[in-house]
Amino acid sequence: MFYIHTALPAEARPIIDHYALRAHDASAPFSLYTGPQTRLVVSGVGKTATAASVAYTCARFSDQPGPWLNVGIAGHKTAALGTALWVQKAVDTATNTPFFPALALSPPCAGSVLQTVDQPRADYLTDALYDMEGSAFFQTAQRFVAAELAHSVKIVSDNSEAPWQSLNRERVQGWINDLLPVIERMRTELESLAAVWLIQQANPPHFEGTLSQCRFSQTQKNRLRRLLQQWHSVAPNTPPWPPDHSEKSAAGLLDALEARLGDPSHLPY
Amino acid sequence: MFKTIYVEEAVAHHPRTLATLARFSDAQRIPCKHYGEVFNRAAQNFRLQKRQPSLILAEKRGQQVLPTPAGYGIGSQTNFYFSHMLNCLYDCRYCFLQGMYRSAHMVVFINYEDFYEAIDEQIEQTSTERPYFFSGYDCDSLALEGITDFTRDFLTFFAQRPHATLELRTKSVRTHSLLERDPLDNCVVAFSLTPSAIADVLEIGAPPVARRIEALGTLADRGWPIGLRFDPLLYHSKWREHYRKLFEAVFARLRTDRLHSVSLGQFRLPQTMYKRMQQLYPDEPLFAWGLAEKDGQISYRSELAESLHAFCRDELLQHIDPNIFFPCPSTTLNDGVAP
Ligand code: SF4
Repeated sequence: MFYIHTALPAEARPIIDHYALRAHDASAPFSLYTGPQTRLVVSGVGKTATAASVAYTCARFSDQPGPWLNVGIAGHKTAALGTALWVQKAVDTATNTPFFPALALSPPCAGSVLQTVDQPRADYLTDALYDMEGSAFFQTAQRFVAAELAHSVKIVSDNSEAPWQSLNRERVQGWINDLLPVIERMRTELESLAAVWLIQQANPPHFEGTLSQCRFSQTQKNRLRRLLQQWHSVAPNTPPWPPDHSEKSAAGLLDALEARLGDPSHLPY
Repeated sequence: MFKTIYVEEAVAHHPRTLATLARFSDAQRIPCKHYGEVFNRAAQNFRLQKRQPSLILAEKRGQQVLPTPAGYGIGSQTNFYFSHMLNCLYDCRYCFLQGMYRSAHMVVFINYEDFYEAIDEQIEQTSTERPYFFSGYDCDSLALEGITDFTRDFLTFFAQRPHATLELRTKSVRTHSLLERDPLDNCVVAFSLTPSAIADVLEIGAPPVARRIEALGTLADRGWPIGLRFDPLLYHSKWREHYRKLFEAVFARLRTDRLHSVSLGQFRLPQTMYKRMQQLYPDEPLFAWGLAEKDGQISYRSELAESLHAFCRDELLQHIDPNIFFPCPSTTLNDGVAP
């Protein structure tokens, strides 16, 4: 599943239309839209709303984790209106804390540092992007997925010659429409990375079934998970215990499996 | 090659930074205050980053040169290591770097002059013995030569310090910086070698073993002292046959009068590193089969480790002088130190 966050409904609309998403749950605290492979949440403006909406969505769909993309408009001192920029680093200007998206892909377009501010401002102090959500997006999303799976792309909506006060919904929607190829490219790359990440997160075969056979402490559960992963990597088509095994206790099952991991008939390579 | 380069603000105008940036004029540049902001952050995934690592240009602060752990060495009691780089172009599945670092980005410390100063300090303090300086502990010494000019610069430095020895540890065949100059008796070019059958699967991105053998043979022909590092020894089907053939291929090509040292190393990892590596690659049988924990180290069960070690030692000693044979310390072999 691919997750998109926007602050404004106008930023969300072209994405909703492009992916044919449908409103998910009218009672949710944030506007949620869903499709077969994509979900989108609209948070409202600001860091708090962003953090809450991303955390809410991750928790609500914790059984379907996936990569996240923040999409939105942003100001920039010098870049031309309509320029697509990938966020290289987001700085929370209130605390001067930098958040770096961890890079495991080729940047999809030109990039920029993003300054996340608490109030809209028109002074564009540095040659960077300006928004009100980016740092909170990274700070929150990176708690739920690998840091390589949370990214942000922005489209320049205002600059020192065209202030944000002159923005309107139609222009925002037009720009986000223009951004769709970049979003699609990010989606392809992030889904490919997420496939590897999901392998790392997944429980191995036989894990749930073995847990139901007898009582395992948390430490034993961790050991069982690791041993079953190991077993699956050396003998993917063989049950971890022989059909006639007599082990009844968690400790006995774990020790027997560990001993089998040196079986010469399963020597890899 | 690198699509993104992080640059520490303090070295943004350093000539080596500018030269590197000029080589990658299309790469996006991202400023950072300290490389650790990018490299050491939590929640990073080494395996994912290895698909498209970035370059980080930084300054090495603190201690540039450190003593090696006890027992490691190739003939001297005075051994140091230093790392002008963190991480490697290649992706050997057994490499401890993937368990040691959170990030797969490649850090290049560009303040070589500070390394020179630290090396000189150690040489000055070492009155009795020839000190050895090992590079390539946290990286491959040669693989990124086209970007770092590391050997070009450090060989010039060591050429003026003939009473100290530099070891370059590598799997790379990028040896032109060595071949285009006169050999140095105090620089050992040490190649890591594994049987092709297993190297082809586990040493991802590294040059084929046959090309490494050709490269070390050529260097020896030109007079460079050569080290052979069979480290780690890997247990696999037909391992006896594969190791025997590897040794035969090496000694068929190598002028042994230029052979400086041969070492064997166990497949061994501190438990915390091993756990991280297994979590990164839960589907990797190397991290599953035949392993045991002893004294906080994960390695092959002792009977496997002993048979591997004894076989390779006996085979090697048919080709080399025992005085240049240096098995590494091990927690797996029964007496704690390989015989
Ligand atoms: S060549 Fe050495 S440093 Fe590089 S990945 Fe392989 S083992 Fe690690």
